[in-house]
Amino acid sequence: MAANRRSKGDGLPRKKKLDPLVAARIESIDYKDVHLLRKFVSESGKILPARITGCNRSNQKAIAKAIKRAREIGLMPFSGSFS
Amino acid sequence: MTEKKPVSYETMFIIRPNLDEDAVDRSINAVEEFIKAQGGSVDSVDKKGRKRLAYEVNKMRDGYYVVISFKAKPDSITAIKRMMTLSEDIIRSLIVVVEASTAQKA
Repeated sequence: MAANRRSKGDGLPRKKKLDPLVAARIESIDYKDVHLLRKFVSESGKILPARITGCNRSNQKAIAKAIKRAREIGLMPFSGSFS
Repeated sequence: MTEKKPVSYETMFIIRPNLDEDAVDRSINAVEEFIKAQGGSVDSVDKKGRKRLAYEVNKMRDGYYVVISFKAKPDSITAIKRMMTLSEDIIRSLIVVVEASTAQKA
């Protein structure tokens, strides 16, 4: 209860976000799955930090790697939004 | 144990969009034959078709995507990579190792 009333900037610890991949029961992350990966980039195509995505360390690493591979093969932009 | 075991790989490459079906098939065949010539075996070929690229590659906005799953010895990968970069029709290529856990799903 108390955790819900805490707001940004009050200096109190907040409840940790649940990893979206764990919540959706996604086990394998593939560079071909652009539909999934685009949820983890900003509007300008940057990879979002784990602080924002709420992913755990290993999932965040896998996501970042998959996005980089997708960029290399032209599935995702290095910068700029999807057309 | 000097002989290395074959590893599962997956390659995704982009063929120039201005080729006709025959020419696309020919370049896919060339890659397959090359993998076999290097002592590998081709498991599956998946033609993803023409797609829009996220950014321009060599002034091209579209590309014909192909995914090939294959097994090969790790030391033959350099040669396969080189063959694909030297090919005129292949504008981009990527080779990744298929992890055992993801291989079962796909």
